Parts: sequence; C-alpha cells; structure tokens
Amino acid sequence: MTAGKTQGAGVPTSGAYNRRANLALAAVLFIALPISTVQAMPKLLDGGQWLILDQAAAFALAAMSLNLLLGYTGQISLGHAGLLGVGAFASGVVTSRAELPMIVGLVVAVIASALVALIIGIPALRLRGLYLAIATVAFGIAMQYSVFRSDWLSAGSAGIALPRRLWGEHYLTTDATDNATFLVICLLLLLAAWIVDSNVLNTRVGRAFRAIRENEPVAQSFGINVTRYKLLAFVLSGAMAGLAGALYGHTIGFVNNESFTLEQSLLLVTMVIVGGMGHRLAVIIAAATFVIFPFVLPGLKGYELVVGAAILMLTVAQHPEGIADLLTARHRPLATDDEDDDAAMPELPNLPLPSGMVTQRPGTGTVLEVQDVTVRFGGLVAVDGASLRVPAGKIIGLIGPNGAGKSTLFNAVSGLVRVDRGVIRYRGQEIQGMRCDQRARLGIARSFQQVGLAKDLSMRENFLLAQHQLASYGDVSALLMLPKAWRTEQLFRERADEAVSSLGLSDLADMPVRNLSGGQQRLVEIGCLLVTAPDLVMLDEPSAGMAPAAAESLAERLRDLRDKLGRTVLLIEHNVPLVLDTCDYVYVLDAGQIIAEGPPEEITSQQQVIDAYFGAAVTA
Amino acid sequence: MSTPLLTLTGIRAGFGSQTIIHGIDLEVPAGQVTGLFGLNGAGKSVLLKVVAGVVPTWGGRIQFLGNDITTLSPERRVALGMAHVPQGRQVFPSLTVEQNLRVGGYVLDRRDRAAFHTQLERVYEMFPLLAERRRQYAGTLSGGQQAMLAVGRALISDPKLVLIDEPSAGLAPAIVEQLLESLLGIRELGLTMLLVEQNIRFGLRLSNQASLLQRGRVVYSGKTADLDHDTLASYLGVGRLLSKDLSAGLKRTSRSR
Repeated sequence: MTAGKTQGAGVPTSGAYNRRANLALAAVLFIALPISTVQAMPKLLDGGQWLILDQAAAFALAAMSLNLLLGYTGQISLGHAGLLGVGAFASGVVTSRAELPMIVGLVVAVIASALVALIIGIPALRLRGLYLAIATVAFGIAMQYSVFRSDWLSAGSAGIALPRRLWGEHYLTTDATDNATFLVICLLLLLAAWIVDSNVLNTRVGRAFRAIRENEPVAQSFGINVTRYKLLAFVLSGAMAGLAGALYGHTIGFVNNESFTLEQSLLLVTMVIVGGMGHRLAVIIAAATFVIFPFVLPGLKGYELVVGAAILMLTVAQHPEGIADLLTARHRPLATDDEDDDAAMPELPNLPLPSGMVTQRPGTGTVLEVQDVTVRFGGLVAVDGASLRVPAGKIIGLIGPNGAGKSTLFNAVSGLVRVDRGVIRYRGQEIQGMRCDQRARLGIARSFQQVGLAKDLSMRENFLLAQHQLASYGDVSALLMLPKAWRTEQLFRERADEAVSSLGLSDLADMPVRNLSGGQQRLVEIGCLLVTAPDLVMLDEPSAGMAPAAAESLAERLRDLRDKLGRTVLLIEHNVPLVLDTCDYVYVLDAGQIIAEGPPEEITSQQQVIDAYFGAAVTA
Repeated sequence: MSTPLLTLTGIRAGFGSQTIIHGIDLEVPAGQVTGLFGLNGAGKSVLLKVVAGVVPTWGGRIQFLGNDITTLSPERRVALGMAHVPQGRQVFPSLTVEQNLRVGGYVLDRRDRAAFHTQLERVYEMFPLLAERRRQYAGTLSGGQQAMLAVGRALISDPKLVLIDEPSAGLAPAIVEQLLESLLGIRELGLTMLLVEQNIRFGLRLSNQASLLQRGRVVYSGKTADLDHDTLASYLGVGRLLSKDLSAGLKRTSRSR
C-alpha cells in the first residue's frame, strides 16, 4: 500500500494487485531473508552483531506502532517508550518471576500495553496537538521515574530479567545461532504486525483513522464514531508497542527504568518522521537504520539524538514525505507523452448513481422537521427560531443571503453545532441530543460549503471512505481480513471504480484529492454522497465551482434521487436556475429567520424575497 | 486589439506525474478582461496559479510587461505589478478590513507611503462598504463583503494585472449582481484582468476576451461578443438548465458593445 500508492499516470491498480505486491514484498523481507540467514550465515556475524539486528527488528515494530498512531490517525504520542516499557516489564514478570515461556510473556505484554494505551487514549479524545503531546510526555515520565522504579516491579533501578525461555528448560542463549534464531522470531512477529497494519489500511478501520487525521467533522458526517476509532488506534498502537518492548527486553535480557526514557520516545518520533509519516515500509527502514548505524560507525554511539536531529531537520526541509519520498518513483512525463488525447472532446461529467444494494423507499411522511430552532454563538443569534418541514420524496430548497444562517442550520441538523432551543425530528425521532456520526448512521448525509473530503486521500479512497457505514463487517474481521471483510471491500472497490469512471476522472483516481481542481473536488464530494444513497441528502451549495455541464448533471441526479429512489433532498443553493428547476418547495432564510416559503415560482415573485436575496437576478 | 500585457508561450504544468496544462499559448491584452472558461479540471485555476507563480511551470515561457517572469517567485511578480484574488477569497479573518488592505499594499507601502494612501482612498471609493467597516474583523464580514475585500486587497497595490479566480462562487444572486457592477466599474478604469469564472452569465458579462480551455489546451480564443451559443454549449456542456441564462448573458454582452 505504501510503496504501491503512487503509480504512473493512467495505470489503474486494483486492490487485489496491491495486496499481492504487498504480500510478495513482505514475504521476501520477512521469510526468505531470515531463513536463508539462519541456514547459511550465522558464521558471517558474531553474536553481538546478531543482537543488533534483533534490536533493529524490535525498534522497527516500535516505530510501526507509533506510525499507526501518528502517521495514520494524526495523534501524537511523546510517551511511546512508556508503552514499550509496559510490554517489557509485563513480559519480564511473566518469564522471570512466574517462570513461564516467552510466548506467554509476549501475549501478556501485548494485552497489558493495549490496556494502558486505552487509558492514555482517553485524554486524547479532548486534547489535540501540543496539549496531547504534553499529556503523553507526562505519561512517559511518570512511567520512567515512578512506575518502572516501584518496589513491586523492579525495586528502584535493579530492573527485571527477561529470559528467552522457549519451553521447558530450552533457552535461547546469546551465541550467534540463538541470536539469529531470535531474529527469525522477531521478524515473523514483525510480519504478523505488518499484515495487521496492512489490513487496517485496506479496510474501513484505516480509512476512519485517516479521515480523523484529516478532518474530524467530515469523518463524523460519514458516520465515523471519532471517539471509538481514536481509542481503537491507541489500543492497536499500544498492542504493537507492547510486543516491540517485550522483544527488545528479551533481546538484551534485562530492562530497568533507564531503558525507556523520554529520549527514546523522541527518537521514535524522529524515526517515523524521517521515514515518512504513514509510510510503513519507509518507517521500518528508518528505524532499522537508526539502530544499526551507530554500531557500524562506532563514533556515532551516544550521538544518535544529535545525528537524528540533524537528519530530522534535513528531512523536514528537503523531503517532507521522508524516505518514502525517495521510495515512490516520481517521474514527470516527457513532452511527447501527452499528445494522445488531442482531438477527443472531453466527456461531459456524469455524477455517479448508486448501484446494487439500493432499495426504493416509499415517499411518504415527514423526513425532517425543524421546530423553532435557535442557535447562538456568544451574543450572535445565527439561527433565530427557524422552523421547516421536509416531506419524504421531495427536493426542498433553502435559500437566503450570505450570512443568513443556512449553513448553521445545516450544522444544527447534522449535529455539528448544539441547538440552544427547539426540536429537530428525523422520521419522528428527536435527534437534537445525538452525536453527528449517530445522525449520519440514521441516514442523514451532508455536503460542506468548503468541500468535505479527506483531502490527502485519493479520490478512490474517498469513495471507499464514503461507504463506511455500509460496511457490515466488524473491526476484528477487518484486522484479520476475514472473508466477509474481504468480499465487502471488493464490492466497495468496484463501486468506487464505477463512480470514478462515471465522473470521467479514472486517470486521476489515485492522486490526492488536494491536487484536483476545486470543481473536481466538488464533483467527488457530491459523488461520494450519491453512491451511498442516504435517506436524507443535505447539500450545501453543491454547484459552487461546478462547470455548467456538471451543474446539469447535478440537477438530473437530484431528480433521480427523488423520482427513482424515493430519497429526500434539502438543498442550499445560490444557482437560481438550478433551484427553480429542481425544487418542489423553497424556504427563504434571512437573519436566522424563515421570511418566506412556497413553491419556487411563487417565491421568485415575492417582493420581500427579491429585495433580500435575488436583487436583479430574477428579473433579467 | 491592444498590445498584450501578458504572453504565455507553450506553458506546461501539473502535479506529481499528472500533466494538467498541455502547452498553452495565451495573450492577455492590456486594458481588457480576459475570461477563461471550461469544464472542471480543464486547467483554468492551475493556469491562473502558474501566472501568479504559486504553481511551477514544467515548460514554456511567461512574459509580463516585456519581462520574462517564468522563474520569478510570486513576490517578485507582485512587485512587478501583478495581484491575485484566490479561489474562496481567503481574507485574513483575524485582521481588520484595513489591516487586510495594508497587507495587500505591503510592497507599495514600503516603496511609497503617499502613493499607498492615495490607493487606499481609491479602494475605499470603489467599495464604500469597506470604508464603513474599516475597523471590523474580516472574519465577521458576510461572504459578499469578503469578496469585495479580496478584490480591494488585490487592487490596493495598484497592479497592472489582476488574476481573479471565481469571484462569484458561493455568493447570493443580489450580491453577485453588486460585485459584477463593481468589477465592471473597475474594468471601465482600464485595468487588465484575467478571470476564471463558472457562473457563465457573470463571466460573459464581465469579460471582453474569452478563451475556452479543454483538457489543458486552449480550443478557442476571441472576443466574447463573437462567441455564439453553440460554441459555448459544445465546450461547456450548457444544456436545458442554463440555456436561458446563457442567452441572457450573451445578449447583454453584445448590447454593451
């Protein structure tokens, strides 16, 4: 996924291709290499050198765990060494005091770190950026100076031993062969983590993580429970960190409170940034390099942080994407490359229609009822006792001057702002107390005035993200990529490909959405809403920035939603012809109050509305 | 046709491995408003950004007032007399109206304080509404007022060329009308503008030169008044919905000639 993400232009890669390439790469790195080393090479390196490779593998896993948190989910942790320590001490207690085999120690380490990570994840729900960074530093320091020094764990800095007991009285010693064998164990566990990590990225779990990193309100509007997925990210990261810490402990055979310091936490962050946030393979390479190099160049020993800092600064300045920047081949097409499509008329874009699973809904009853709703921001009353009713199977327009409170009313309905007074009912149920993502899961979908997409993700990934709440598989089956998750993902991919090609943008499908033009981003955003065919579609100025042809297609799709699928639409729009053409009924909002309502042809002739909104536009 | 103020020759540009502009030649005559029209993704905004210098060129040459500016930084281009009104307006919300204008006039203010103050007064004359609200934070302005501030901020440096990217997007019809009147007034003063606009009626009424872009190439260039409905419809896909609007726009253009 990481290396395969940037392909040459015009080569659509299917998920299956990615998966195969990934597995092949992983197999070479983690199976073929170590097996051949154990068979043929123990004599090439001495015991100490194998030990360094063991440490490198442990740190690669540790960096991967931080990458999941920082790179995918955008949650900073400057106390990650604390989590490594929890794993190491847990395995130490199990193997040296309870005298159980290492495998039990590793399992306990994973569980213990995951639980502790869950606890430090709770502040992350409220804290962001620097504040979260400080909170995690505090955690790391508390572990280092207090917990890891406590009498029941290690009695000051006496520490705890981590014997490498395989079973019964079989131990791995510290000679070359045993250290090489331990490397195989480390690499196999790294492979397992790699597979889980890759499954995270390829399913709705990873898309939820990355959507949270990009834009939380947008993530919520796709029905993603931000609280739950943030905690899940901490738990997964903690589990990997615990395993890494335990492997590190078993590598050197002994840990104490000085083994897991703030410097080490910072070094891990450096590894992730130098590797390239979110790029698994590059992060692993960076981590391994940081561990191995000081030994290859003995003069570096003790100066890792200084060198790391220098590399970090260079990276941030020259290659913000880190090593990953060098791994992904970036070639600029030659002038001769692009003479192919010269004469062809561009296809006019067609917004996608939902396919498959969509059932028609009967167009009866009231879908949305807004009753006397008031929203205040400090002294400013943005929405002032507005009421409106959206009947099923209709397209209802909401127009009004800039600053009238239209978008605020949308935010109130979708759950992004709190209602100070009034009632909002969706299909008869009061929803004003619900979270945004809960409302999205009921069937309320919305677009944003400032395009609501995860902009660092590709168009294809955004179409997958949009289908988040249609996924019927659980998170565990996602992590293990069980057949159900696999099949669902395949279906999602097909649907995403269909949507991309109906927009006529197939050759841009794998570019970050950020690189698309403003109008194309808008097309993708509306397309994302359409493919899931939610019950109530709320669109905030969908045609802003759309070329006339796209606006035509939008009008057609809105009618399809209503007439063919029985869906309901609430539309904020300044494009008067579009409103007149599609809406069954129009509300006019001015200064937070509904000043007029009626069928579109009546609205345009009301003097009050002309003065407040249309100006000369309808008379011309 | 007057001499070109800005000349683009064989411009190529894109992102990553994706070419977006495939060799564009374009002349922007002095004292005219040149409109760029085309489907989403045709490369209009990217071309504007290439001219402004915020997106690098992969090939070709940009000449502005007789200078080759192809490799100049955006600031140097501003110093030469270029101003950019970006998509989505992007005023500084936590600065006041006047502070926003001061930022826009930074180069002029340092060079010639008196000239800057004359310019400030001129902008307040063009947009009296901004004068009334000079101490108000820009973030508290309505969308239409922010649009005027963005244009005012561009004009304050007394530019020779103004690049405007979708000024009417997201504005209520009455406000679009007001903004159009203001911009037509500025056009009368003889300022050269390069305009990207999706609101076809707005765009056709404001521009007197039009270029149609398609997949990163110019497929039509000429006077806006010479554009006919069929040409536009075939390149922009104008159908039932906007035809009436379009005819109204075309009629206005030819009448104003």
